[in-house]
Amino acid sequence: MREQSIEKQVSEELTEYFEQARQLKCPPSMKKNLYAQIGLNKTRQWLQPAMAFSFVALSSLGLVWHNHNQNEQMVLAQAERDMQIAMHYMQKVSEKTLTETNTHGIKPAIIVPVSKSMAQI
Amino acid sequence: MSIWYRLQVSKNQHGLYALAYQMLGNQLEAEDVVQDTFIKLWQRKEQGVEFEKAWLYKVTRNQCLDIIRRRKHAYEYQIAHVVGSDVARSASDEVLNDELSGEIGKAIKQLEEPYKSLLVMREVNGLSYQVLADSLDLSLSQTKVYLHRARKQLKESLEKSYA
Repeated sequence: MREQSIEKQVSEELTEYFEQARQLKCPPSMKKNLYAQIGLNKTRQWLQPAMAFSFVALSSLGLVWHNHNQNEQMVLAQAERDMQIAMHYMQKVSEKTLTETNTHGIKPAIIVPVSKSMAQI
Repeated sequence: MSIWYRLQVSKNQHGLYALAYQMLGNQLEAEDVVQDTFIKLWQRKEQGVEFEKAWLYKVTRNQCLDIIRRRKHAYEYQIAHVVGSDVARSASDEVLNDELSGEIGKAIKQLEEPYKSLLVMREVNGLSYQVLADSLDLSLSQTKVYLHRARKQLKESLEKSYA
């Protein structure tokens, strides 16, 4: 009985010891000194500017995309406004009699905003 | 090539450090050993290294054994030349300095080679039997037998101390 408990205790403590030993990490100073010694740090000298350049390029791309998106939204808003104006005139025309629509002033007032907004959409 | 090298360093540094630390019981020495191992790998990068993992563990273990041998010689020298003096006592204390405190650390330290290396490489680093065999230039069956003996010796030593 006692032998069994000792054996159990030993097994448990061994498991715990090896688990702790597995958690042990090599200090970062080793890698740093190693790369400095064999001159591998030099690669970082081009890596950092390359990363900075990539960042600037990505930011510019983002800005261009944002501006493009904003322009598109402005065009759409303008088209919508034109469309509303056109609808307003269409409403007015529908309220008028056939003889009244033959006057010269109404036709261009309807056709121009409608064709303009259709072209933009 | 440098990407391959960096990958090897990242993948193996902690395992090699664990082995060196368990063998030497000293953080600074373990760190130096791991660094020297990777410098050796860098120097061999043109020739190429087969079975990198086994090779890295083999080089680390050999370096640790060299340090242990040097320590032993230094200790014997101190004993032979300045026995009983304070200098000898402090030098021997340093040689026997055990950072792996506790019964288990001491019991592992007392294991003979190749039992100690095999046990640490298997239990701490989780290496396969094949990598262990390649690292220590043993056959697969020899590796299994030695590992079994190592576990048995360690358990017996601990059971004695707990009894």
